[in-house]
Amino acid sequence: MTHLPTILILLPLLGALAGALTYLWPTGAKRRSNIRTLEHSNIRDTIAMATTTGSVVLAAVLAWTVFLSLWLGGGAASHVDWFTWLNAGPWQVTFGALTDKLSATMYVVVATVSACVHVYSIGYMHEDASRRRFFIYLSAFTFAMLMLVSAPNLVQMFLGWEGVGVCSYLLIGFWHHKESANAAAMKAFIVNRVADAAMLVGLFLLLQTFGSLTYGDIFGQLGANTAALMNAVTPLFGYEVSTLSLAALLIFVGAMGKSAQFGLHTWLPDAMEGPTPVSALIHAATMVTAGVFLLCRLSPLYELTPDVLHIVAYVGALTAIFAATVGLTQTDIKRVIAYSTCSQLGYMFFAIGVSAYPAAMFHLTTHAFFKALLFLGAGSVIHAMHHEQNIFRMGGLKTVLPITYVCMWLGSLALAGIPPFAGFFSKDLILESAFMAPGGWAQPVYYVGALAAMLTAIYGFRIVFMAFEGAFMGDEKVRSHAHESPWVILGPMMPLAAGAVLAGLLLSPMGTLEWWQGAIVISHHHDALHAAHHTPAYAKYAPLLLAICGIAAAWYLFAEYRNIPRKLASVLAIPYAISLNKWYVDELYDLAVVRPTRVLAGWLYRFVDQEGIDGLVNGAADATKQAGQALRQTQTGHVAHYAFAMVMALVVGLGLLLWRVMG
Amino acid sequence: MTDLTLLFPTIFLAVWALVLLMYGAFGGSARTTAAFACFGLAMLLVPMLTKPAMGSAFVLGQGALLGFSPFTQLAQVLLLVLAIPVALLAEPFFEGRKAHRAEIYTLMLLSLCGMFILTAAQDFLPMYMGLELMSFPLYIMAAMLRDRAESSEAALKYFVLGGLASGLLLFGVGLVYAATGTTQFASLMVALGQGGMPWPLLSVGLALTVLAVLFKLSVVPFHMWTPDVYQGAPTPVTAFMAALPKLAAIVLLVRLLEGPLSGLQELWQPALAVLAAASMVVGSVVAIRQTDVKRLLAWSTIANVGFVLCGVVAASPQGHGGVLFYLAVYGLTMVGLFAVLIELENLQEPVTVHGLAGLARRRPWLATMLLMLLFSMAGVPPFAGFMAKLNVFAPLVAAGYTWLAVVGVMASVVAAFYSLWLVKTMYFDVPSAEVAVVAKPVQSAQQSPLMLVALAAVAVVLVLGVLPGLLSNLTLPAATALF
Amino acid sequence: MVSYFPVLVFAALAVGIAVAMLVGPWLLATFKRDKVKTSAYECGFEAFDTARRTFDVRFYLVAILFIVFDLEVAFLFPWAMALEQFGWVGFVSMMVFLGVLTIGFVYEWKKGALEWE
Repeated sequence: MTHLPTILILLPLLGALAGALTYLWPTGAKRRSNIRTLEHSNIRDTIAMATTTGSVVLAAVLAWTVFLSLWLGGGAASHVDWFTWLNAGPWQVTFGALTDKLSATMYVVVATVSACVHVYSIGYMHEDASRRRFFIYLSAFTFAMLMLVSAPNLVQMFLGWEGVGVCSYLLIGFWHHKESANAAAMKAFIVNRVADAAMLVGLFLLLQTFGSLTYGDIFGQLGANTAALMNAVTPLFGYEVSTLSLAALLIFVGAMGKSAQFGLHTWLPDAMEGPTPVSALIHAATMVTAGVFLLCRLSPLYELTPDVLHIVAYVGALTAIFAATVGLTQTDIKRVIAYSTCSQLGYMFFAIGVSAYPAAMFHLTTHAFFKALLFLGAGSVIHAMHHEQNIFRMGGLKTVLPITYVCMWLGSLALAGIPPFAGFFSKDLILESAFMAPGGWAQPVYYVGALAAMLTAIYGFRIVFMAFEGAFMGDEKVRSHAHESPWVILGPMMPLAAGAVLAGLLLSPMGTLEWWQGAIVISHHHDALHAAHHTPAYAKYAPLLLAICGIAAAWYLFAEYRNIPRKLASVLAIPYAISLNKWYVDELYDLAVVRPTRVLAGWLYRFVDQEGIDGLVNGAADATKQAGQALRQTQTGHVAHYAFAMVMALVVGLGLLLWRVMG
Repeated sequence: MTDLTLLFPTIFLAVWALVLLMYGAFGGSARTTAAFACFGLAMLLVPMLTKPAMGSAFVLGQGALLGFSPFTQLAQVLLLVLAIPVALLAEPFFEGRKAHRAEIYTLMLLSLCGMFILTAAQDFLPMYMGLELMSFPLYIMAAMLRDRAESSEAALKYFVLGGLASGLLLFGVGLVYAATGTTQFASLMVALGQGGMPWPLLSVGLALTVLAVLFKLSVVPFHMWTPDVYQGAPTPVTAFMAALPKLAAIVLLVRLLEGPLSGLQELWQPALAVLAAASMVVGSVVAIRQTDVKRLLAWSTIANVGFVLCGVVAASPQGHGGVLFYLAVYGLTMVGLFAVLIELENLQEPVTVHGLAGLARRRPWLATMLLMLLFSMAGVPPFAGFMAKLNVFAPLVAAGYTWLAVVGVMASVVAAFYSLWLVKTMYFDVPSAEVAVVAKPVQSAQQSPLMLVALAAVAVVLVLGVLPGLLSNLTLPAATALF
Repeated sequence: MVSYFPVLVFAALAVGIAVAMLVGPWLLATFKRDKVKTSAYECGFEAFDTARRTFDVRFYLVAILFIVFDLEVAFLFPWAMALEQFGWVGFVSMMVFLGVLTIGFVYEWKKGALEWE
């Protein structure tokens, strides 16, 4: 039993390795052709798909076993050490698996969604010549993500953190023949590097302060000498800053990058260049929630830094409303869902900001199900429409894709927070906690969240109505070929649909602090979660009401009277432009960061590198060459000259020697 | 009487050489002679590895004529290990050429015998004898291709300048004898051990003896014969000259400096440092302007001797251990390089720098092996050449000669240039029209041992690059035994 | 003085043989003089000519051979005189030396270095 987590973490790695081994299989006679066709890679592809998918499905089964035995079976948190990776005097890094409610929940989320996505990809990617590579990446990602969540220390966490980053990069750029995919992959990587740089500094600060990066050590010291640690300061640009706050803030910046919070979110919409299953797994359900998970894992630290928590709350709220407004006007079905992800992550962060970590984790779990469902549904639509992603070229698809249609409805209802679907319970809890946060400082956050909830309902159902209702708006040829997806695609959506419907009800104990059995710590000074039970009725039902209004509005605008939005857009030209252009964040970055950097780089290249450094280097090389040429002339080929040189050297040498000996 | 088992390897080499001579004279073919030579060398390795002999032979008064220490022993083993692949190179080269093909093995073995005496000499007389026994066969071997003018020219130049060096050595020994009344290292050590500066007569005598060794090592400014001789001599002979006498001579130098001259470290250390720097710089810098690959390798040898001297200058067990390590790796790399060059010559490829253009496309395997060996020469990890350089520079810095290490590193940058330049030519340059015509694909006539030698060199260079401990675990204790 | 008596005997013998060799032919031989016979004997070269002309390498070969055996004899004399003190070691050493020389000689013979044509 204690080794179950280890096995379930290693399974995806083994699957990926086994899949990679198929590349050693000689390709035989057809090796001469560089263009790999489907036929001659079939067996190897099948093997790779079988090992990766099989291992991840097995991992999912084990994950549920671990989770349920912890929850219902009354099991206790366990900690298995694997090996000591680094032993540097007093500092040790031991890899292992820390399995408490927090990581077990993540096991379930990651392994379940990953298993569904693997199966789904068998159908979705069946036309792709390099699908083998795709499956290997997917499994490798799953392994890295499991490493991240099971880590008993921040070093292993960071290894997984970077591992998922690399896999994300590889999968976004999976179709590397597409220039936009390459650009998106690099953008994702670079933006994350900016965030990771901050995070690394944060980790170094923690290491300096605590002498360890193991969670147990850090939390133990935080509990033992709270006062001393809270008073610790670090000099920064001539100011003295609280060390804990600085570290917490820097780690939060890292989390912002991975979880696409406002300012560092720009990579997430572009990441939709990757295949849709990737978007479902990495950019909706798992990797982007790593930031949320990390902050929850570090709750004992964040509880001591209320100022940072406020920042987290505001950043989360800003992201929630920002992404919701942008989602209203995008036309690419995947981009809309991507902004919705961004927005939902904002909810999770402001839940953390008001110390409602359980609510954040609860929302993380339910969101994983319904957002993966939405993405896979969108994938099914795209698959049926032959890679058409513009919702304005769809319409009336409900007759063609009835099952997908139902799934999209379920997912959107959960997203909008309509009871009894999953999103209702978790989102409600977040908003109530914000409203009731001690001191009432978070009430603005609540209002922003409620407004975002309405927008969420609008853009969520905008997709459903635009794509499935009304008249078809695209190319007739595409429509005539459109067909419901095969069961290998629809099948994996079923467990996710069940999750989207039931997860909120069944997992509602997650919303309480007690359920987490100490994996999450909340200081009683700002226990918004308990207070949330006493939310006044108006605050409790307002978001629901707004959401229902949102759905109604969406029906009115996007199913019944489709010309109204266009008029609205021309009347509200400026807000529309801002939303359509994603608040001009990309343009701002281009102007403030990218262009100046390029100008500076160009200048450095031309004047410092080419003329200065290259000049020096080439000059030295030329001088050396000329010296070689000159010395070469002394090699006359005459023995007498050589003997003369020897004797002269001898005379000089002996002269020096005698001068030294006699002097 | 003396214990003849100590002398067994030396005597065996001489006897085996004469046996081979007779075998060849009475109609034995060159190929079987080669096989017998290699067989004999390999057999000799067995007692040398299993029963290392320690002690002195021909004891006279305070000292002995010959002495066997772990350092000598390891040097002799390394010489044998290097001699076997070189012996394998000769037949593929000389086959079909007008030369006394069978005699070359006798000469090699006799020269090797001289090196054995040299590495064990405890007296100036056996030292002189060893030096001459080592050198005379070299002169003859250089002239092996009698009807090629360059070959004779190389031999004559080598002989004349070698004679000059021998004369100076004898003169030096005479002065030492005049000053101290002894030719024994041990008595000399006692005479010098009284402290203070030695008187001028003695110091000049000692300087002249050391000089003769430096000549054999082709240290700048006694290097000028090297490029002409290396270029003119038959390629396997060049390989022999590049790999073996250097090792023997440097072992003698180290034993001289750490033995009788150990009291004069303040005199020889700075002098050798300057010579090492000069060798490294001149060798590397001139090499980059060469067009003939063999000549280029000759200049590279001069540079490499400079690197080796760095280890000697360090004057520590680590330094001298590094010297043995360096010379073993360098010798093997050279043998591998020359094996590939001979194969190229046999395939009628032009062995000039420009002639190598496009070799990677014509002969990918040869080019790959050349690439690895050149990378090792350039000191690129993970090849052994890197560890070798590290093993001489690190003790040098520890000994306080940081400036020399800096010069060495800069020289190895220049040296890396010509190695990589060859690689670039092989892999990226387009062959000129005439080269393309000359270098038509000729298949090797028979399975030759050349590729075996080259492959073995590549393998050793790779293995020692990753696991340098395999060799340095032998060299370091051997060098420690010197002190 | 008695100890120098053998020297006197040697001297007398040497003088006697030399005189006999000079006088004998003069008494017994017939004389037919021509230009070549009356010129000074110089190993087949013109006696009075430029010293820098090329000559057949075979002369050189024979000369080298001569020197080897000449030196061998030079070694053998003192060795023979002191053999009693050297004992078996001295004897074996010289045998090795002679053996090496013999091997060299055999080699030359087999290689045809001794044949003029």
